[in-house]
Amino acid sequence: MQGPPDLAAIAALVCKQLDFTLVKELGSGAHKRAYLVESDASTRLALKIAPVTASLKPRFEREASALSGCSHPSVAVLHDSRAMAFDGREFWVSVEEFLDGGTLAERQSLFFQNPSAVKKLGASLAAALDHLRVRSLVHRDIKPANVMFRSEDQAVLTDFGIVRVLDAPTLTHDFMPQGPGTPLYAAAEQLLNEKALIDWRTDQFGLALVLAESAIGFHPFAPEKDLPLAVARVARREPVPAASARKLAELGLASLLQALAPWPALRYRRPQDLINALAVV
Amino acid sequence: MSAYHQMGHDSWNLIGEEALRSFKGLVLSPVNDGPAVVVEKLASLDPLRSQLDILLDPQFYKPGSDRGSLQEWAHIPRDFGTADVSDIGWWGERCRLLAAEAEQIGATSVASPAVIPRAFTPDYYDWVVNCAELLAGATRASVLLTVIVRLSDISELGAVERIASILTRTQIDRIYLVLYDDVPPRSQRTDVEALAGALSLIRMLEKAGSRVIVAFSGLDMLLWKEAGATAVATGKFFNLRRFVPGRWEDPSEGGRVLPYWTDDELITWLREDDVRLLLRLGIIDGQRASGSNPYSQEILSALERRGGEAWVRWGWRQYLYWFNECEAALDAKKVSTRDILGRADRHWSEVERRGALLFERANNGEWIRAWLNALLF
Repeated sequence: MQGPPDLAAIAALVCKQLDFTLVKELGSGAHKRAYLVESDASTRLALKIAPVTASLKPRFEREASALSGCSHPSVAVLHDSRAMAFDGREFWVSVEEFLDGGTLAERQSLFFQNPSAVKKLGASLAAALDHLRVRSLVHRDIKPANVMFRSEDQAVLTDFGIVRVLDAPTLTHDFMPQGPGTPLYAAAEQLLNEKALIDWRTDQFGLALVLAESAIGFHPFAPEKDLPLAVARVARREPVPAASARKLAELGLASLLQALAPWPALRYRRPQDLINALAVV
Repeated sequence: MSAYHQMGHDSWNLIGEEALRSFKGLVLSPVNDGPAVVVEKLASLDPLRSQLDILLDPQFYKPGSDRGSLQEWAHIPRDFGTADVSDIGWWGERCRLLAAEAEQIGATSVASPAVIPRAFTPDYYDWVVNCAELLAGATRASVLLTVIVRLSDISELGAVERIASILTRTQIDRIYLVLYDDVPPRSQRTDVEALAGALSLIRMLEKAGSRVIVAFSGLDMLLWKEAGATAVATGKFFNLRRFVPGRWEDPSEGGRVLPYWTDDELITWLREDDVRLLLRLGIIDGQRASGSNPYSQEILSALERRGGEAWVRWGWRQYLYWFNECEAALDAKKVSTRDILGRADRHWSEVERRGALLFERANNGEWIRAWLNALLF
């Protein structure tokens, strides 16, 4: 039986094959480890590597296929993505643009009680969701760690690892009690694995939740800071608690409440409706 | 004005009639007419035709082996009975043929294919959306997403929201809603929770930006308009003898079609003997009825002549006239469903107070309170 692969060593081999200079490790996600590399003196890129398993390979392929069809300033650029073999083992290797502005998780304090910044962030990411929608893609994992910045102003949606392609067969088993995604930022239909209800409005919920949290400084479904309770409330399809709704209204962000509605039919139907609502308030 | 005349057997002669000209559109019925007849009849409607939304309902949901003229239409394949209709790929060809037929006959709108499923699951509603999108990709005509909703299902907690969420996933924003139940002939719907569910579904769809046409409506169109339905279709009027034209199935043949009087105060249909009874008791005010509906006058004249004259043709027209005028008045907010039903309840109380026993036993007005209560949810 093979032990866990030495991904740093694999990264060095990949860099050698692709003629990159390995600069440093950036961090790890659920499956992938990311490295900062340079293709030349002025071009820095993010190299991501993951061991391939039978269950993960279709997801990697789907992510690559989904991202390769996208071209939007608020969607991370994918330069290359493929399986590579080293020492008889297969690894998934992707090369993406390097976003050096950090994550929203790191910068969330900049948006605290700053409704104009929140609206601007919301509008640019809603435009990205529209870009995905017309391609029948649902990101399904919108959270502060997956929103990065290309510059001070340009937010970018990253990590399409569990992207759902609506007109392709599902990769999630129907019998699973919960669909993939980060529960803390997931809509009820995702938490309950109600696949027929998943569409761009599922991402709308996640985005609104991230925006609301950034604006008021706590998870909108847990004004008492009890995060498991927040997930339970969303799964029970409860409305946003009154204390959070009041805070959002005070900041002129009441329009987010519709995006946080428990059922997709009650949310904004089109991304442009959300963008308009954010602008109007 | 957003009432649609749902075509049935031999109803073309009603379209051009002066008092019935203000319908917004026609719902064509392939079960009743083949494409050649439809083309010919539509041509005869000029110049009125240009003002009408000509909606082709492909009627894939028509059950049983007796499909009438459906077999003359290319979109209904010969292997329909044995095909795997759950395979969305199979429907691609059906949609292509349906689109071509719609263009050929000059339809301005097409309702998407829908079948009556064994189980009304989220997968089914997902399927109807996918099918509508297939059709939208094949035609330049305006597409309506056809959905058949079983009334008994939508009183369950969360059912309305779940169905509405799936139906509003698409950018197709016109919905052809068929409400399906097993209410027997000669009965109106009285399940308050199911009716409240239907009202809630219509409200939610309209609020989400969909424009709903409730197909096969009858007197219950009062409810659908109160819920905000953009449009209502009359139901096939030949079903009137079944007392529930809201249901879409044709009656099995074998009996003669009975004439019915549409009573706009009791909100019911009355047989001739009951019309005579209520006229005698003064519960029907003949003068008022004639003033509000020109076809009521024709019926009353026929009754006065006492020659056993068949007045089916006037009964049909009286209903269509009521449907169209009432829909317009509701749309313009000149009247409200609550007022109409409240008045009907008082009239039924008067029927009871006078001890009148209608010959049609099922015709007891019990649905009026059920409908009023459904509005409270």
